[in-house]
Amino acid sequence: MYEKVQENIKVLASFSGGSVIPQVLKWAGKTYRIKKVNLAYQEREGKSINYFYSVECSPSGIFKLKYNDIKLIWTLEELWVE
Amino acid sequence: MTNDKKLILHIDMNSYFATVEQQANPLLRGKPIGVQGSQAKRTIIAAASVEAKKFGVKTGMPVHEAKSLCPDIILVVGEPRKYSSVTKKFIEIFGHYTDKVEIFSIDEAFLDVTQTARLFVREKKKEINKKKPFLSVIPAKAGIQQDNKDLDPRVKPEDDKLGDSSFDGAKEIAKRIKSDIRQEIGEGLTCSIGIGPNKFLAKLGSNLEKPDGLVIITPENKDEILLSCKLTDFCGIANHIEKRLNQMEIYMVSDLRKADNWKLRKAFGVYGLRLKRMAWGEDSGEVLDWHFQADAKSFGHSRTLNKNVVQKKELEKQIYLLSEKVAKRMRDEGYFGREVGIWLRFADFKGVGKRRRAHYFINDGLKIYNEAMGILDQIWPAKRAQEFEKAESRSARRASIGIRAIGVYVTSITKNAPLSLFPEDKRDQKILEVMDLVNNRFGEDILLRGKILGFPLKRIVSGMGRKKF
Repeated sequence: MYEKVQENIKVLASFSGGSVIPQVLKWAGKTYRIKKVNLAYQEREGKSINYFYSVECSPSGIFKLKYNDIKLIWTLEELWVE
Repeated sequence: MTNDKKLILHIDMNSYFATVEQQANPLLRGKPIGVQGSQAKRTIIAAASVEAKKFGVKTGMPVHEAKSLCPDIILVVGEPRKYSSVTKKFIEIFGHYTDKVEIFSIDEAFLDVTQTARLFVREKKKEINKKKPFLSVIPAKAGIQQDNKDLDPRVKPEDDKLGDSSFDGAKEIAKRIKSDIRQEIGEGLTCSIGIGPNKFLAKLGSNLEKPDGLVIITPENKDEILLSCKLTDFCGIANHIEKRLNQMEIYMVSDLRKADNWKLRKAFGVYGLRLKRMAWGEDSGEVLDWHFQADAKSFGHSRTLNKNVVQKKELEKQIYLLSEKVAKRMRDEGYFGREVGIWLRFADFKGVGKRRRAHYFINDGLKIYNEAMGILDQIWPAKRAQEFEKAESRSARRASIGIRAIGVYVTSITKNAPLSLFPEDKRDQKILEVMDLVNNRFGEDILLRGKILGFPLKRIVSGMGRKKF
């Protein structure tokens, strides 16, 4: 199942060595532990940079997250559940 | 003229867009997927996964054709920016091994490792010696080396065969690049690498083994490989050139080697002689240092329309949006152009196109649009329009004679253009600069031209265009 979500969410992330790695996310009252970052990429939107992460979570699901470096906001963009 | 002392790598990412999507979403892995330009009905397959290719799905194929070949194909809308971002990452990886990296396309690159390959032979040797137990570095005559190699499972027999040849260094670089891509970008991303003494042979090598191949063409084995190739295996010989070669009774590489220079030149011009050099595995092209890439020769964008268009007015919006897109890329890279062209592709896949010279150098979308509309008036197929009037039903008309795709391009470009001295042109240029400043800072489409209000707004997403990384 695929769903386009586009909701701001809470994410616990580690910032180290010039990179940001999401660890845990909270959405719809549920906490998901991020098992693996499958792909990370970025794109410029005007002056800011959006960092995208395709992550595998537990309980199971594939989430696409966006982090905006100016607004300091995490957004859940899309999700896939089998 | 050839230089067989060079060491060139050609790296081709396998089923690139599709593999990136499978990397991002493990639920797509192992399944036939097609990356499409947009969700429009008439879009094409921009990339097919390895699994979809097994069903015969190919890049550039209309989606309906792909579905008929592979009914279970999963279609994913492509994200060009995602692929550009991943491309930047692998270019960074290539930069660890040589400064001579030429980006051939979004998923292909040439690397000249002539100067650096030897370093990696030495490093590999050191690595092997580190891995071996102490006794294994005792000279072989002591009769101990072979036994100890068997004790250490990390030392593979082929590692020990590593000689001083530069090709071994290039092979080591190729292996490390494959491993770096898997570790730093994603384990699902694979590439085929060809190693050769020139760009042509390196590219041929990367095409011979897919996916995840590594083919080395040396001056010693090149004849055997070349003579076993089909003419269309060569980069630069597509079906239409093969057909013309066949008309000259050239069917195989060996025929091309024996072909008469004069006849080839008469048929293909200077390119004919290049074809013959290909048959001998010769290529004098240099890998361009990636900081000094060749300047662009043209800028263009095209779009396959959602439905066949039969009225000239219906094309206005498309031409305007394409013109603005071309102009923005030109301004971003600091170019102006003198010639504007458009092409139309009809429902029967025949086409027509024309270009014309503007009065002065431009990079303004509206001016490109005005020139393009002028060309459209000239090439508008009056005969087809008459057929359209005669056709029985509207749908029959669209199906048979409508316009299926359109493209706008600008050529004769330069970075040092003498600009118009008319005050209104200077004002327009200033307005464009300010618009770009605002849009670059706050995001695309924040400031738009008033003309767009006449058209329903929808961003064109298909097509990657020529991109700098």
